[in-house]
Order: sequence, then structure tokens, then C-alpha cells
Amino acid sequence: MDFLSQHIIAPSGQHLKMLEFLAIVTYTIHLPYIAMVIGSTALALWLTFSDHEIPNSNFARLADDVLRTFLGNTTAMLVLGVLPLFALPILYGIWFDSVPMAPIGYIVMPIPGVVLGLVILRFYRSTFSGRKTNYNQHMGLGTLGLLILIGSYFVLLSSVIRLQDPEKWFRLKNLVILLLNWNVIWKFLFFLHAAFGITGAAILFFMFRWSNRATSGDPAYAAFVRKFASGISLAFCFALPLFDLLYVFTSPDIVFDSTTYLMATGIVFVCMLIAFMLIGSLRAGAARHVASIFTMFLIVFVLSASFDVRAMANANKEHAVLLEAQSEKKKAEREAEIEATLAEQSGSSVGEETFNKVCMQCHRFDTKLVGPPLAEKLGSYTKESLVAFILNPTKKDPAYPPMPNPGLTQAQAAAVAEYELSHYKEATGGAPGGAAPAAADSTKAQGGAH
Amino acid sequence: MIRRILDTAVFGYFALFMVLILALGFRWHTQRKAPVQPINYSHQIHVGKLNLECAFCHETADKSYYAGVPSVQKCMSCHSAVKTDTPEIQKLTKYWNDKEPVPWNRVHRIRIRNHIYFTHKRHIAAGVQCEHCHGQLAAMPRVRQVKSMKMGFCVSCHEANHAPTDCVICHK
Repeated sequence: MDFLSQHIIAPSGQHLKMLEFLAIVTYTIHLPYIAMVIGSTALALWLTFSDHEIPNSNFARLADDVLRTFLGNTTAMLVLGVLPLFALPILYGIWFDSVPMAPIGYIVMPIPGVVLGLVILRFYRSTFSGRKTNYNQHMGLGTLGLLILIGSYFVLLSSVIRLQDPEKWFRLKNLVILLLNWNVIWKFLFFLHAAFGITGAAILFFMFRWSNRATSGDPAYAAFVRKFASGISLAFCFALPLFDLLYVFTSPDIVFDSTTYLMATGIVFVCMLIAFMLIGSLRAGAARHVASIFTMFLIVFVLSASFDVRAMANANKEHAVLLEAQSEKKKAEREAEIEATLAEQSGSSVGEETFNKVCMQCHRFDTKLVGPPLAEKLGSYTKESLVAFILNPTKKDPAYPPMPNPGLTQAQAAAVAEYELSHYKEATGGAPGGAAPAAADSTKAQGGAH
Repeated sequence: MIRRILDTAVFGYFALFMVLILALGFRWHTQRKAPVQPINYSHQIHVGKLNLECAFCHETADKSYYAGVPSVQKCMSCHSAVKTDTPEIQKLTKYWNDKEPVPWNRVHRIRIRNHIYFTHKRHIAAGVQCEHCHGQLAAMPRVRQVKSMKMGFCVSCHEANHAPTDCVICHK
């Protein structure tokens, strides 16, 4: 990550803001899709199991439709399910570059699990037609793929959520400690319930609005799908505010600002709108507002991702400021080098200008201000030792406060040292450790600009 | 009628959660947010840019239970001459002229303070860096509490650094 930060993109405050935005976009693309894969697989497994125990053609048909809709497209699986995953370690790796204890290594761990889980679910989908003869194999593949996917997302969400609590980083020595945390558990339960909620909404959207081929010829099946999907979506929609509240309640204080609380409240508000639309749809006996309901669930995911990213940024606010300061310092150094070169070419004195601008805040040549009169001290310095002191000042005289680092570049410090020593030499007639400079010189220095 | 009761119940259910989350937000805003100080003092400038040592202002940190808040006199030792024309330094100068202390608002506090004994002196003697408990002050425009200061935080650090964890070490 050092290589990325130093040679490709220099980290700065603006850069980190851009990474936060990219993280929200990545989650918005990725998490709803994975949520639908998890929800649809779990529902298909339950429908197939129910059909196996008490045969019901609607169950089997819906399981087939659900699997075809959500697991049938390999391109979608690759673009929405796999590729965004590889962006996350890079985004967080750059964000937490030069933060030694940040547990970003855990973000990489679940990626193989997610890929494996999706591949197994593709096989599960392809064995649906032979489920009657190979029931155990079909159900086994689905359960295995689902468990691997759920386990991988538990680890992924845990590692991302744990970035919000720097106080606990030094304790995260293994995966068990990473996962055993109430904050993480509530977030994961929120994600699972949102997964079932959006799956119900997506079934309504894709089977009634996107294409109604599956439900158009059979009103009884259409009514079954509508009630089943609406019921699932509504039930899990009611559970979301509880987990949202528990997640907020167990989050550390440092993740919050007014916006995060508004986002958490916004999630509950959107859930309320979804609930009323679903209730209205059930009462009307027709699939109404399906596009709005699906969109609202997507908004729940966007708000949830935005909350997490902002919480992470709030908790590590000082790291961002330090990076920005480093970035600005490097920029200022480059500009100072350019200015020094230009000044040298034009014959003006960088040393004098810097002295007047920076050093004169505390020093004069012959009078005491915050620091001692320079005339009393310069006699004991050579140019090299003075440059070294300016670049790294230490407390020398107990009668004065320690000199703060003036933040000059090597070139500026050398120019200032040369200016001070030549001014001192001029005033004392070249005698080392000599007397105070002439009054004319002190007037010149105090006057500042000439 | 039943439909209206059901709608009200659904609204009440979601409204309850919204109110509870906003109540948590209100508690954070009133009790946990970084307090506004009477003078907009910046650690970012003094520690971050000027590289002043913490002990330069917090003089008693290595000698006492308390790190100590610098006196107005301490601030004025530099600011009688530096940046005297800025509004914040003029506020400081007014406290100095009125011979009054700056009424700083406390930032770091242990939530349940009864019977808890904590001393800065011992921790500094053991080599604990200030930022371990107080965070990156060099990057804070306004100081905020970044660590919980709860018992788990103290015990974890004591365990990690092989410091004693007997109850009586902290609870007197």
C-alpha cells in the first residue's frame, strides 16, 4: 500500500474524501446484489424443502423463478458480486496507509470465501432440474454455498465495522476476537434482515414490473408470489429498525456526528414508507408501488453504507488531518524550493525575507522579545550548527520558553542562517562572540521591510 | 376503524424507533460531543505545527495526579508578543488583564468517578505516550475524547503492558 500511496496517488484530505465516496459507491453496487443472492438462496432452499415434504407446485415454481432471476446471470455475478470485492482492500489500504495497528488485513480474508460461495451457488442453480432424483446433493450444495457466503460476509462486515473502533485494534489478534462484538453482531443481523427484505421487494419488482412473463398466465400463482414476497419483505422490514437502533446504541461515541444520527433515523423513516406501501399493496390485492418499494430498499442500503463509511471516517478523523498536513507540508516544501531557486536567480534575499516573515515573530537582533536577542546568542554558532538548530530547535536557555520548530525547509534554514550570521558579522565587525550589533542594524531588523 | 388503528400502530412502531435514535443523538450532543471552549485554542497549531512538547504547557503531568492546565501567565509568556492582533489572543489578554483564569470546559472524564484512582505521573514514568489515551492532539482543531476511559480500556492496556491488574491498583 505504501507503493500505491507514494508512487501512484499521494494521500491527502481530499484524496481520503474521494476514497470514502468510492467506498459508498462500491457498497451500493455490491451489497444489495449479495443480499439478494443470500435471500433468494435461503428462500429457494426453504421452498424446495417445503415442496419436498408436502408437494406444492407453486413452491417449486417460485423456487425455480427465484433461482433463475438471482443466480442465473453469470455476468451479473462477476460484475456485481466479485469485482467490487477487490476494490475494498485497495480503498481501505490507502485510507489506512501508515496506520500501523489498523486491522485492514482481515478485509482480504473473506474474498476467497465469497468467490467459492458464488461458484457453489452456480452449481446449486444448475442442479435444480434434477432435484427430485438428487435431492440431498441439490440441497447440500445450496446450504454449503449459502453458509460459506454468510460466513464470509460476517467476517467482511466485522472487519469493516471494527475500523470504527481504534481503541480496540490492539486486541484484534485473531478472527474470534474480531467477530465477538455486539456492535458487529447487530450490524450483521441488520444486513441479513435487509437481505430478506430486499429479496421480497426484488421478487415483486422483477416478476411483476421488470418482466411479468412468469406470472401473467396464471392468476393463482401470481397471487401466491405477490403475497409471499410482500409478506417476507414486510416482516423483515419491521425488524430493521430494532437492529438499526441496537447498532447505533453499541457504536463507540467517536463515530458520531449529527449526520450519522440523521442517517440512522433516515433508515427507520424509509423502512416506515416501505411498510406502508407494502401494506397498501396487500390491501389492494395487486402488486402496487413495486418499483418504489425496491428503490426504497436500495436507499436503505445506501444509507447504511454511508453511515458505516462516515462512522469510520469520524473515528479516524485525526489520521485524515495528519495525512493532509503531511501532504501540505510536502507541497509547501516543493514550492519553497522553487521560490528559493527563483529568488537566487533574481538576486533577492530569501534569508532576509524568511527572517522577516517567520523569525521576527519572536526575535530581534538586539532586544528581548519572546526569545533572546540574537546578538547575545549568534556568536556561539557556525553556519552548520545554526542551520541544525533552526531545523530542530531544543531548549537552551532556561530563562526563555523552548523555541518551536519554525517548519522551514533545508534551503530556507540555510538562507536564514547565512542572513543572520552575515548581519551579526556586519554589526560586530566580524568578531566571534562579539558585542551587540549597531543601532542602525537593529533598526533595520525591527523595521522588517525595506 | 380497524384499518386506522393498524395504520396508527405501524406509524407508532416506526416513530418509536426514530425517537429512540434521536434521543441517543441528543445524549451524544449534550454529553459526549467535543465541548466548545471559551478560547478557540488549537493543539493543531501548538503541537502539530510548532512542535511544542506536551509538558511545556501541562507542566505537572510527570509530577502529579493531574496533568495540569496551563495558567494564563504561561500563555502570555509568548502571547504578550505573538499574534496579539488576533481575536482569540485578545480574549486571552482580556482574561490576563482582568486577572481571571480561562474557564476551560473539561474534555476527558471518567464516567463513573467514585473510588477511581488515576495518576498521570505513574503512567508517564512508565513511558506511556500522551496520544495513547488522548489521541492525535496534533491533528485536533478542537480537542475531543477519543478513548472511552472505561475499565475495559484500562485493563486491556495494563494486561498488554504487563502492568498490575489487581482491583486495588485503581479502586481505592
